[in-house]
Amino acid sequence: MAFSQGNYSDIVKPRLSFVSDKYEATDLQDYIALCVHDTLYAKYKTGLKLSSLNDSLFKDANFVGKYMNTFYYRNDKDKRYISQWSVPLVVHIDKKITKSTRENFETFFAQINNVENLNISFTSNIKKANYQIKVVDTVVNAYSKNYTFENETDRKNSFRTGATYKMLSDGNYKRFSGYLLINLEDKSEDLILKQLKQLFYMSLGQFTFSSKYNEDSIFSNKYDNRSQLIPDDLNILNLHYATIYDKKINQSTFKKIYLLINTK
Amino acid sequence: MMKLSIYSIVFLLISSFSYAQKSNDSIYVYLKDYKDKYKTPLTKTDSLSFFFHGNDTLVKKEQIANPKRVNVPYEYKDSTFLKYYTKAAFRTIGVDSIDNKQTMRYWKSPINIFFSKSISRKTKRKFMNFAKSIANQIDSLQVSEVKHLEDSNYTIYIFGDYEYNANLAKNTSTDYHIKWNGKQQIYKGGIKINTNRYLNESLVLLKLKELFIGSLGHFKFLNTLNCESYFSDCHSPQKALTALDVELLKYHYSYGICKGVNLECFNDLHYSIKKRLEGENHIHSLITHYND
Repeated sequence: MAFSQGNYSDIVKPRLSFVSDKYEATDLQDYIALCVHDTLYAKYKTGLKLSSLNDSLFKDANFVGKYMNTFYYRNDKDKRYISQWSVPLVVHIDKKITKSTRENFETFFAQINNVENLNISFTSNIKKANYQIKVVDTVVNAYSKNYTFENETDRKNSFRTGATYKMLSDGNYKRFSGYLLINLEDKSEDLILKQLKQLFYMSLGQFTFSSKYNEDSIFSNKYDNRSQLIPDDLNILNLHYATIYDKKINQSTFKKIYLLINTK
Repeated sequence: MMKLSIYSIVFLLISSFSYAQKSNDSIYVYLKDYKDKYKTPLTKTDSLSFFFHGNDTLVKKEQIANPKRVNVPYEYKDSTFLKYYTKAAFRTIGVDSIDNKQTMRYWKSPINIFFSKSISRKTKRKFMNFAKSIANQIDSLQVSEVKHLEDSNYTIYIFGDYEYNANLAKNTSTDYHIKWNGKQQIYKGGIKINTNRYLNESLVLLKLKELFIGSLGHFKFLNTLNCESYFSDCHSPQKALTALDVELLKYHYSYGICKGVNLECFNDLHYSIKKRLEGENHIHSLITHYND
């Protein structure tokens, strides 16, 4: 489904490439004259094309609100941008993690194989990976000094304890490389799997997890580690990767896109 | 304003005068420019050699042979090209008071690159092929690999190696560093890459190429260009030198423009020359450079 090209381009200015072949060009009026017989013409992506699934998700106001809450959570909302992977993820999992946990992890994320614009595969060759899940014996945590838990049991069982991740992003908030670190000490296989699942999911979009979600949601601080993603959690990823945005998208820009889609 | 001690703009009349000018090493200069530059009163002899062109008066100026002076034809570029060029080379942010003071920077001396042993042979070879492919298209840019650190003015190494470039010692993330002199000529550079973050050889090579391009002119990466361009601010595994990338680099290193100037001066010069070129097909402009 394509929307009015001009309008979407007004909201998200497309990035341009310049080509010498007139037939490849998008706009012959936008050109660079290099010399008398050599001219480069602008070529760019026009409009926003959405699948029917994502079109319907964008038209569900309640769901869009829920989606926005997963990453626009601070006061400085317009200084936060949507983070996306712009390249396929090639994941390598440390062999120190048991085979059954690795298999469970891969099986779990096979559920998102049909998410458009998000491609995840696994490799045993570490040199081919752009996402490494590594076991460390150092202290690592995915929470700051100011973060508080309700009690020690919650802290020990949190996906944030003894694990973290770091991602590399470009100037357009698009991710292209990263690693997830986990310390296995005193952890059950169930806890290890839960931590890997939640942190990996989180790293697909710098989402915010909290206690306000039900325990069946991967976004919950008290996630029950079920083997199936609930539909909402899957659709959050569908909406998040509905398109790879050409530019940085903050809350204001996202709302404009939402309004554009809903007025068509 | 432009540094006239380093550069001057002259307007050369072609047609019947061109041969005589070359053989006598003389040029015709617009009267206003003549007064601005030479400060000396015009003599009767000067007035006898006035040349009238439309509403303008041009003064003949004999040029004393100067081996350090080189005249290069002004390189014309259209406004679309200049929009991208000035954003990249002058690192503009859209605030005139700040942007006008930004200067362009360039390498005048050859770039001699030393690689630490941690950089794989394959990556080194591919990187040098890339660097040389750029240099091969630009007369005034030379790049080569050197085996000894003391012969280098550019080092490439990874975190954990010996600290080859003190200016990168405190860096916590992958980046390049360059140093330049008062003439905005870059004379030293280096790249330090964190291979714990750039996880495989492809990512390392791509990042080295991106940073190298940046260090050729302290260029700003643009959010208006497609990710495949080396001048864009976004990642792409398909990055390649686009036709525009090559033109931007060629222009930056062309002596048909002024070197080491700030944006205000750059814009003034283009405005001035373009205004005079309008409808004056038989007038060419020269940019004069003085070698050190």
